[in-house]
Amino acid sequence: MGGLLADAATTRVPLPPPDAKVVTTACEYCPVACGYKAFTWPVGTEGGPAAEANALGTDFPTAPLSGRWPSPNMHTVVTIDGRLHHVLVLPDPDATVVNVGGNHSVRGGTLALTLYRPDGPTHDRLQRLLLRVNGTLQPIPWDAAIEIVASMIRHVIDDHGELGMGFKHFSYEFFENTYAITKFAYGALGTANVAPHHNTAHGTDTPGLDDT
Amino acid sequence: MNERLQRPSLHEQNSGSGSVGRRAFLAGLSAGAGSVAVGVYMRVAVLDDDSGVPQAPAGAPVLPAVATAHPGLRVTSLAELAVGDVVDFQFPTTESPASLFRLGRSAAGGVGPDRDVVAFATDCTHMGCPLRGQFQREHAVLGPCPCHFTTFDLTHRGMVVLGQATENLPQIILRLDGDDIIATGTLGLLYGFRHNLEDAPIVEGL
Repeated sequence: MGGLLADAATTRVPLPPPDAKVVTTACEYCPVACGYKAFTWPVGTEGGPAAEANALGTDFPTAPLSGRWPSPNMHTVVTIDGRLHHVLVLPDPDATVVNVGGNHSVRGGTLALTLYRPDGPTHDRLQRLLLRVNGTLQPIPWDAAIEIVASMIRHVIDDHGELGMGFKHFSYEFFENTYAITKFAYGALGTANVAPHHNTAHGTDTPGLDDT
Repeated sequence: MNERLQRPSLHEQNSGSGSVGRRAFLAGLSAGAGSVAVGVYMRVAVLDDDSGVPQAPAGAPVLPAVATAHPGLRVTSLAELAVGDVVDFQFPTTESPASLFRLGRSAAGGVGPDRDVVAFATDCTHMGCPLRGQFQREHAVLGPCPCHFTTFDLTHRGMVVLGQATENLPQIILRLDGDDIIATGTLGLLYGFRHNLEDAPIVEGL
């Protein structure tokens, strides 16, 4: 394997071997939550083009609309437990609702590229909690951060009431986060000041939806 | 579509025996690549052209374009092509359809006096539906795809201009041999393929 970054423009994509770990999950971008399958397997192993030799269970080249072609942009390499692993995030060809047959938007089709890798465009991702103290960002542990935020929320509610709290959040902060933030704001705190951003990724095959 | 020329078998070309096919292939490489020749089928770095299409600004990170090479397939000749013409062919394998276009405007990777002759794979990189018949001459685009409407810009390396594909449409690398237009490689991974040359029989080369 050459430079990892160069692989983004390759003419080859590695296939997951039959024993690759597979997780069925949802897209992190929009509230439609299309189905995806995430395959991980150690660098150095690779599946073959015959159906029985890869975890996709299909012969290569795959047929049109098979939903089983991993494009190079659906693949990346990350470190898991100290070892390099291939990651393939494939629109789920077995999905029976929403993205039936593995249809996908360009956002969902490039989910693998959002993963952290020190040699790629995500190298500058925030990896730990930082608190600005006297103008300088300093690392702090989770329990300290939660205590600071909880104290701030308690102060606002005690002095200004529930409506003193407002939330701005984005559905592409993951499906689970969106659910938790919404429950927290409306249910636990009881504020009406919530500004979500839930813009669905309209595919070109859904004309007119943006007018609704 | 291609002239039946006297040519060595694929095996002979792969053996690196100094056959005509191998020499012709390496000569073709030198036109666009500054790489070390290590075999008939290999990845080569394709240097960009001076077609007038905007390039990356100075200082921007540049990803090397990587192509799979082919011994060369004669597609058609310049003299046979009028502006707006489309020539369908199979390349680089018997299972990978491609089309050649004379756009009537300068294009990245274009050949000919006006740099307006380009060729692309015609299976959509979104989900593999056929793009043949979807050429829009007025806009120099291929699409909308009949399945989900993805559309590709034929003047900018097959860049997606509309739709859901995660990859450019693979461009077929062309060179001129006199008046003949020769396909010599593929830029980008073909829909449905794990590797452009390993998953299906290769179209016989020059």
